Amino acid sequence: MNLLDQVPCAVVVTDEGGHVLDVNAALLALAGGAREDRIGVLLETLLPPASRIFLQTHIWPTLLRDGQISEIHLQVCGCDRARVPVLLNSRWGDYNGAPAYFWSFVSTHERHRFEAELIEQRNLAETAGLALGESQRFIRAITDAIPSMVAYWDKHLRCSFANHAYAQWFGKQPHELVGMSREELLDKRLVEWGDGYVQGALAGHEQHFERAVTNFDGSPRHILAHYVPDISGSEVLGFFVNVSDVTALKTAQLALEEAQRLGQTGSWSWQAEGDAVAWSPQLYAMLGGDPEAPAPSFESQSRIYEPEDYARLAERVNNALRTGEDYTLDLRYRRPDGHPGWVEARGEVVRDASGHISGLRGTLQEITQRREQELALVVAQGRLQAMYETTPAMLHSIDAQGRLLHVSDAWLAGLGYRRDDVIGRLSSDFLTEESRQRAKEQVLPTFFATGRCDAVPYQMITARGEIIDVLLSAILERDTLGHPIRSLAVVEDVTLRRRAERELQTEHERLRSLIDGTDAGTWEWNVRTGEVIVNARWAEIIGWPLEELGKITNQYRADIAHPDELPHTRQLLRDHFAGRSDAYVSELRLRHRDGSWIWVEDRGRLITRTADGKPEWVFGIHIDISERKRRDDALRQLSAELAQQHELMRVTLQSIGDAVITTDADGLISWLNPVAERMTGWLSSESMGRPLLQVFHIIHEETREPAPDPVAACLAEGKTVGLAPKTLLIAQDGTEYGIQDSAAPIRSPQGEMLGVVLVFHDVSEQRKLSGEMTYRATHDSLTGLVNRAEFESRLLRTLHHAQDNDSSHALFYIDLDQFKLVNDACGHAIGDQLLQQVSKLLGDSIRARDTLARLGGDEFAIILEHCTMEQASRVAQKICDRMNDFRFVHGEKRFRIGTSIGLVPLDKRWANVSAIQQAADASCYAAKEAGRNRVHAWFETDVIMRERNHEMQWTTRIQHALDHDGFVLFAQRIHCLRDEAPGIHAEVLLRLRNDDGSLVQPGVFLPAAERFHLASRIDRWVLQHSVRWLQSLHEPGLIDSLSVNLSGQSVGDRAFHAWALELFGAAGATVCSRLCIEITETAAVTNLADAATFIGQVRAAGVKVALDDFGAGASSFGYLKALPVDYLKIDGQFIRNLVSDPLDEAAVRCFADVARLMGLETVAEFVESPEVLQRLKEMGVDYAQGYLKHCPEPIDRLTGAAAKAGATAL
Amino acid sequence: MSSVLKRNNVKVLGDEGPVLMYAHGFGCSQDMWSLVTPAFKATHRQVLFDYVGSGSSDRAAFDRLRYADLRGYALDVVEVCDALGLSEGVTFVGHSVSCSIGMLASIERPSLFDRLILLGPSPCFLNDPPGYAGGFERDDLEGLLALMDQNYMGWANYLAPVVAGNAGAGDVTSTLADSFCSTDPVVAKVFARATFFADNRADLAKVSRPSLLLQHRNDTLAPLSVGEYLHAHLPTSTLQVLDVAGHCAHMSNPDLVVKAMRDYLDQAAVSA
Repeated sequence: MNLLDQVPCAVVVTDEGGHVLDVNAALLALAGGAREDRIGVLLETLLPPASRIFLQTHIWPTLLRDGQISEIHLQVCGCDRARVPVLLNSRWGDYNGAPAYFWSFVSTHERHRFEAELIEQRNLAETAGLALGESQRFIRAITDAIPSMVAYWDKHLRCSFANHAYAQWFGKQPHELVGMSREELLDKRLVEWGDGYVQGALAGHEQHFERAVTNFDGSPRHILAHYVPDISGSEVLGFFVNVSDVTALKTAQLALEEAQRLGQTGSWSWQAEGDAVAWSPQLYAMLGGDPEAPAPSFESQSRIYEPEDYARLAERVNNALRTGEDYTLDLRYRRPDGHPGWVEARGEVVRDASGHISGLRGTLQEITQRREQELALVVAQGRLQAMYETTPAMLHSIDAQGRLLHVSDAWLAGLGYRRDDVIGRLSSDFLTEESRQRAKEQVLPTFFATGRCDAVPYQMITARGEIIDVLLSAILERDTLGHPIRSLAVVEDVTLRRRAERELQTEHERLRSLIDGTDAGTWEWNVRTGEVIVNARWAEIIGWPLEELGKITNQYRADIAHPDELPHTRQLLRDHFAGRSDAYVSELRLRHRDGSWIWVEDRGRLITRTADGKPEWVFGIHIDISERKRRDDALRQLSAELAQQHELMRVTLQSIGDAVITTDADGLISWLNPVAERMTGWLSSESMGRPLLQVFHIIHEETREPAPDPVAACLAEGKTVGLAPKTLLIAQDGTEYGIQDSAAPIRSPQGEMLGVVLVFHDVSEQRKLSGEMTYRATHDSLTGLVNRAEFESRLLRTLHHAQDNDSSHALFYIDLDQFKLVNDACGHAIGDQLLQQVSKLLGDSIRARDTLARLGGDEFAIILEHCTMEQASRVAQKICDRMNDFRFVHGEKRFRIGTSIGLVPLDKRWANVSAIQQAADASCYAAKEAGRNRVHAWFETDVIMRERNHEMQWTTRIQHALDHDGFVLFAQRIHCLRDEAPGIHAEVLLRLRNDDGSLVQPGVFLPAAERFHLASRIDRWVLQHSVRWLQSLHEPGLIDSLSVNLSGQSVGDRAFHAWALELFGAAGATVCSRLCIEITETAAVTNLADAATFIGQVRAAGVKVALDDFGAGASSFGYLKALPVDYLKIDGQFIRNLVSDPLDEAAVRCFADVARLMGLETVAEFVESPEVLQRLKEMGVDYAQGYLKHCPEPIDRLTGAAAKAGATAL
Repeated sequence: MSSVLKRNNVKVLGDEGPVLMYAHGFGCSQDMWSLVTPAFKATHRQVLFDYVGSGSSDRAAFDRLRYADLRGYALDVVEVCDALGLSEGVTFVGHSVSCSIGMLASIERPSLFDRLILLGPSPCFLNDPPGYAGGFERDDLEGLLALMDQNYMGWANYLAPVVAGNAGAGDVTSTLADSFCSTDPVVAKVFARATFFADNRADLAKVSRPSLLLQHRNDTLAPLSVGEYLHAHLPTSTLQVLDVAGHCAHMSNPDLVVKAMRDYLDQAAVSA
């Protein structure tokens, strides 16, 4: 028999994870299904979704925290898919020896029946003679699961059963209570107090009572007690006690009453049958009436409300009874003090156990004040809106999406729209495009950040399409999350003001630019006060800084004016004031600060008159015309002199063999001598006054473009200029003369330029000769095509053009496929014929301006200028096709000559011509490889891209290493080959540390460093760390010389020089004397001047200098004179095979001899064998460096080893 | 003390080590983490707090508008960090709805967080056929609100708007019912709506911080399919299924949660 089934409520036992361990029959009756289906699943499968969430979010956390929950409203899925409302209790307990949760579900309708049934069950258990102990134990398990206190007292008033909660109340264990009497358990007062209820129960009557008590721990509690007599037959055997601790409920009730008082809210309930109404105390306070008396029936409440409102209420109440629908409505009622008021009435239906509507319950809240406030608010809003709309200002408000919510009448009037047309539209619709753009990019970001904007100038568009200028100020309203809700803007129409301002501004600027353009001083003269305002230029003209001149008066102007012009000037002014002249214009002299007289042109105009018509403001300008006056004088003087000299000169010039043309200072021809007349085809008389180039028509010999005007150049530069080379003069009859000449300025005795004399002579003959020479030097004698040298220079020119102008060209390399065959079969003479024919064929395939070159043998090249790869491909294919069709005929033999063409784009991607040539060569080779007689177009391959990327990555790593000291200094010792044993000599070497600690050789990263101009930064790092290392030595004397390499970039970088010298200065003499700088011979020669200066400065600081890799470059001993170094390091390529290669030996011997002669010491690098070492010694080389003696190692080991060596020696 | 620290009832355990910030779920409070925090006492600085309206936070600071949206709660997270002077390196540990809140906070201030540990997350509780099964229909969630009404207040729920609208009545309301970890009915309803009607699926792609998803094997609130959905849509997320039934592994099986957290943090420490 399953004891669980005996319990008259649904019970589920689960483990701590909520898996069902057991259920009882009542649960199956409630939820349906078979027991097996329910075991093992999760408890929540019994619950509908909402209850499931509630279980997870509320019940489990609370249960896990507190170990129990009680009286939770929840729904269970019933058998017919109905959702049955239940009250849930759960408690942690013990099930078959394991921890478990007991869950009891009581249908809310059956709440009270359950308790009665529990008792009945207990009786049944007894009558059925079940083992009392077992049933008690079991029932306790269940009763323990409910939170109320349950006990059984027998008729002798001894406790024979108590559940856990009951025992806990008294602070005891359940078993301790069994057998106790009331007197033993309760104090005397309580025993007496409860006697009446106990006797009543023993008399067979149920007892209900409520009381406040203090429990064993002294806390005040409120309990609800229920005594149920246990009647068997007609005998009362004892009674059940069921006590609920309702303290929390009571507190809640009190709190509610307090809340109701505070909220002026009362609650009520109404039983429809019998019209019975119950009111909460607060309702009596609100509606009047005696709190002790029953509340008025619903029917009689009609006198509380306004008749109309009561009718509304009655209708909603009837509706609720019919449909179960809740209601909320505001009602007018009469307050106890007779004044009218408002309440908010809410109601909901109450259902009985069978689910029928039995009545209503709800609340009434006094809301008179709220209604009044709301009403006032509506009125205020209406007023605000009216005010808003009728204000004389242009206002608008917009929502977060930028749509207009409100606009004022003035806004509409100002822009000419109707309200209906604009509300809801985007405010930006009314802005000009420019304003809209500015709003979006500048104004709005700031506006949203700061919440306001002030007087932003915008342009708006009116309904008529006119543009008006406005100033817009706005503030932003935000919600609590900070999101914009709305903004309110004031718009001010400033169109008229702006227009006036703009016009004034334009006028002003026009004037100013006018004045600035003339370099004039300005003055403004108030005729009435005599006050004159002048600008800085005005003052400057007469030699004063404006601030020193201060305020001036018209009298001052009169004072400094030359008396000769003053009367006339005054007359002119009077005429102007009298309206006889449009403006006043005068030339007069003013006294300069230094006492000299300055000629000025003075112009002025009367701007305003006083009300009575008298002159008031006169504005004017001053222009310094001293220079002009002087020039006029000079010209007058010169013309007189010229007149005298002219004749003499003319005679002279007419007789010389060179052509002569003279012009005036404006470059207009004034005279030609007879030779010039002959060569230009113009007579002196007809060319007079004409621009030079009209007569002297010159072009560039090759480009046929007009040549620069030598006279204009001469006038501009003020000195003698030669004619551009290769200039051709074209005579009027079309004859061309190669000319050569110069243009010299003609100056007045004062040095003023009066004109130009152009002298030229015919060099056509001479040029023809030199042209022939040039042609031979640049062309292939066999084919007449451009030769390799000329081709390369043109290629370079084209590349420069591509780099400078980002232009695209193309290069072909062309190889004849079968030339050798012809040559071998028919001999060289015939082969030459073939080449000539092919050359012609190629030349016919391209434009005249393109370059066709024979590079040698059967190799040709073409440069196609200004063409795309597509065009070039077409041309190449055309050549290929023609060559394919071409047959070379010799006697009976016909040869087919194919070509392989490599095509390369010639644009700025190339760093130098050799790279392009390589690419072209490779492409041509590829065309051959692919089977000849075809075109191969070059593409930038992945490999190249990868290489470039690779270098880029290295730069990043180098930068990082520089910034984070990612380099490591190594050193290699240099051994002295002479007998004396000085301190250590070593060369500093560099390694880059990888992330994994391994080291990278400099050969891997230095190329990238040089390419991306990081070499100098690396040098700084190395030099600085080397100096630091020297400074850190405890025994500086150990190191005799530490060499540090410098890159070519550093050698040519003056900033680096300054930095290095500062470093040496700071390092001090001791360190400097142990330091040696290594500069490669190539670097030194490339930057010879800089290198020489730098070497001098370095040595002056006490640092030694070595010339590195000597012999590797195009070296010359001559440089050694210019470069005062201390050591010569012989390049390793001479050393490695020294013993076996006599040339190397001769070279090294030579180096060593020269060095000795110049007092330099020599170092041999790459010394890797004892034989080499021995030979070097014999030759008198001073030092040796190489793996034979020492492999590079971290720099710190240098001194470690030395210290050790020293110790050994001692 | 900063008003934010008081407002959110912020507790800091320990003063050394990386920061773990715990955020409780709907219906809970910071107490729910009490079985997890002892495990990290020696190694971490642990920050606990209650969202405004939950636990022992300052209820007066509750703002219906702000907290009607999960972004309002995310703002609590950010403000608490600001008040503690935290600007980086925080590991956020969230339960249930706090997972979404933590993601929103990390979108708002990515620099603040190193990573997120999300226990029982769901970006959207509602079904959105055909592509997404959140587990619930809108009606179910309305039903939940009705249940909350019943359990928090009984018939007194009618008074909720009145009482909450009345300054000075806050204390009264708070004493009405204390049967749950989450006590304030007004707050709970607002929080519930924000939680269960939220749809943060579109935000997942914006989360830039790595995350650990801890899903319960048997969880009707956030089923496994939701965890897989998250894993697929959250960049750099790791999914781990805990062999736990229910939705509160940190309370029912704290050892499993602690181990998962510890493993994840150790691994993160190694790879960093």
